Amino acid sequence: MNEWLDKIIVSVLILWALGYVVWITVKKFKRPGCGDSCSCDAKKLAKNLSRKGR
Amino acid sequence: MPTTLVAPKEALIAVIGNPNTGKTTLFNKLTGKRQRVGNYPGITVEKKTGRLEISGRQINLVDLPGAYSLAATSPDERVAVDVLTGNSDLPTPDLVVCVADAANLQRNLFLAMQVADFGLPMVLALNMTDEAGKLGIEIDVDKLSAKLGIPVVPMVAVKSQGLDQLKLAISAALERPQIPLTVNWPAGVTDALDTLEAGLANGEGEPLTHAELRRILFDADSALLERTGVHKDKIRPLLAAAREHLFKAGMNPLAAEALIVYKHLGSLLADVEQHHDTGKVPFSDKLDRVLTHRVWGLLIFLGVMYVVFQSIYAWASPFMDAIEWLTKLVQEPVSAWLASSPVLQSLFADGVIAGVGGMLVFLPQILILFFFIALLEDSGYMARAAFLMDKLFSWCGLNGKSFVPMLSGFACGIPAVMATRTIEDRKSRLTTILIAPLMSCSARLPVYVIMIGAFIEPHYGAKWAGFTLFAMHLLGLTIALPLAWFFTKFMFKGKSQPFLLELPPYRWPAPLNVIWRMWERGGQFVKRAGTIIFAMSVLIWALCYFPRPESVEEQAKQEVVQSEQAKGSTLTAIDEQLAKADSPLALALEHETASAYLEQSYMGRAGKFIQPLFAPAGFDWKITVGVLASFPAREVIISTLGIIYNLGTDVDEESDDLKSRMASEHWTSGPLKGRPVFNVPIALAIMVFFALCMQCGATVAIVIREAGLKWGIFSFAYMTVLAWIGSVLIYQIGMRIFA
Repeated sequence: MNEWLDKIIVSVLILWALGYVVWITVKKFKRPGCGDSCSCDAKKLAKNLSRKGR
Repeated sequence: MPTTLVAPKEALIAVIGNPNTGKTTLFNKLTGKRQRVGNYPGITVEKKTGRLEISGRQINLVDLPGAYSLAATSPDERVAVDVLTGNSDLPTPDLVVCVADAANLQRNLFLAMQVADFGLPMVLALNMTDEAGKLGIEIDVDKLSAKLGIPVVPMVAVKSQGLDQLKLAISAALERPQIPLTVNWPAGVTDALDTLEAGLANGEGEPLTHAELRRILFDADSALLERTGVHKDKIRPLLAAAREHLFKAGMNPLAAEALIVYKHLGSLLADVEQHHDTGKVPFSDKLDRVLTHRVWGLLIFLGVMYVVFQSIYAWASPFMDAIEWLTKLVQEPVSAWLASSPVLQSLFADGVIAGVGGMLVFLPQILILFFFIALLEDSGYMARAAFLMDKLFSWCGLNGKSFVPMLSGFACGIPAVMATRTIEDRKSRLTTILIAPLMSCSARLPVYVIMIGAFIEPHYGAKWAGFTLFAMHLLGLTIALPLAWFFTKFMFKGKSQPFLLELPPYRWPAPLNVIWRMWERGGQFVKRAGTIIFAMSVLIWALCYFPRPESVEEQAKQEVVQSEQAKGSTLTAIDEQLAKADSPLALALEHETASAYLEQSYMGRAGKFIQPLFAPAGFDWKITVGVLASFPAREVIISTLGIIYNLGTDVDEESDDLKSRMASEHWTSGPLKGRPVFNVPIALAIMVFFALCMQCGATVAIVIREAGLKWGIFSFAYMTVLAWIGSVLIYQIGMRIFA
């Protein structure tokens, strides 16, 4: 295989992995989730109902 | 004349009830969702929503955390009050479905009466009528409905019995809302309320309804106080003046509501509920005589836990072998296919497949662990375990309610921290938040299994392997108790509160629930392997692979040649040997080169730089790298070690699984040169480090959200220090014993 192509594939994968790890870390700290106790749906519903004027 | 069809507006319905009355089971049945249920109180600590359609009308259903009353003293109960009073992000519900346990009707109706006071339309779902029947309880549903003034639907939610009738009742109640008949408050209460209302009239807060004012009057520290707009110092004399009316009427303000409502319910239920003596001691009571016994109960609990961990260890082996075989089945052709491109071959075979495949091997253990957790939770045994632990907990100043969060911690630290919301006292809650992550979560399981499988089982057999797994799970709990004592004694002197736990009846676990729990947790594990572990594997591989100067290979060759020349071989003979790919010398060179590349890689250099910090615990630089890489998520150590040992060995090595590669690892420098890196004390030290360390970014984040940044940093710092001390102690003591 072309050596340049190898380098591009490896670089893309490393950049993706780095980006993913940074993104997931920031996301976890901004919105830690709820384990088994999620109220995210409730927040979505509240937004939805307020849009409908309730 | 043309007719216009107007779709009925969307409705919002709240599901409320005492803890463990089957609200979430009913919610799941109505909405088709799969929210977690269990046979012990305190599982739901946040509101959850779902949608359903009844008679063409869209309905939003809100499942509220269980509450015995609306005297909201804990964060989860406050969620319920906020939704009912329209004080949350949701509007006031159009209808309340109050779920009551038919076997404990009077106590369940106490909450219903408090909800009724808010003047919201209601339907009463009389759940678990089958269990009430077995206890000889007969309820005249029509009479109850007439006396309450609302529809009452008898049902068994878990068997879907009465579900259609409930939907019909909901549909009818939305068309013609029926507000329940409530208590006639005596003069003392109405006088007190008038005084309170007049006193608050000048406040800057929003005007409160009579029901809300009653909550302020009756509750010790009502969550509604802040809505009055009056400063706490000013409201105290006002409350005292209002409560004086209750004293004058011969009532204790904090007990008045319970006395009035229970008296009302007593007469209401007099000819509604009949108790027939069945002449039999209920099965649950018979079992509880043994299972909650102060001595036998504890012994049985320890025995059950021991059997669980032995089984996890023993049952998983054939499935693990199968996954290992499958991993190799993928790894070998991929490696051969990419042979022309060494960098891609290494990335995929040594990095991605070794990292992710190494993790997936532990899926069987995760599934078996959650099989047992689901069985124990659904059967009602976990509630007994909480009861048994209460004495131990109160000894170290911990709130008895702390056991349920700690129990959840054996599955995952995030729901454990969330579950502390059931604890009213903030200081007790903080203590529990700080110690809950010490419980051995399922992410620690792969670390224990690999160390035990490589170093305990081969030396001491399967029985000791199972025992070690059991002991590692007990370690967190054992350390947590004195720590809780320290925290409550010196940092948070919280109020010691009595532990009130309703022991649910024993039930056969629902097979679908058990399967769903295994599926859900197994799915999460696989998802993590395919996302975060995959990404981390790529990064760790890159840090272990680069930089790659050619001089390293030349230097390794020079060293091998010099060593062979020293043994008396000629240069021509050495060259001939090296030319044959499968000759011992060529393999030795390959191994030497791989090790040299790894040692001078970015990861190798970082590991060697930090290793002295972990030297007292016996860790070499490779273990140190594994430990450091595991701080975002502890299971990353498996993929890290998989990559490190794959890159550091030649491809033809016979010991091709991670366990045997670790066992064959030797110190290459320093005073221990030539001795095995791993032995029993080091394996124990690694396990102790992982048992006590906060290596989970998500748990740190949830602690920060629930307790604040200061406590998030504190919990991370104290657990890391504790883990270091624990592993050093174990290694130093272990080396003296095993040496």
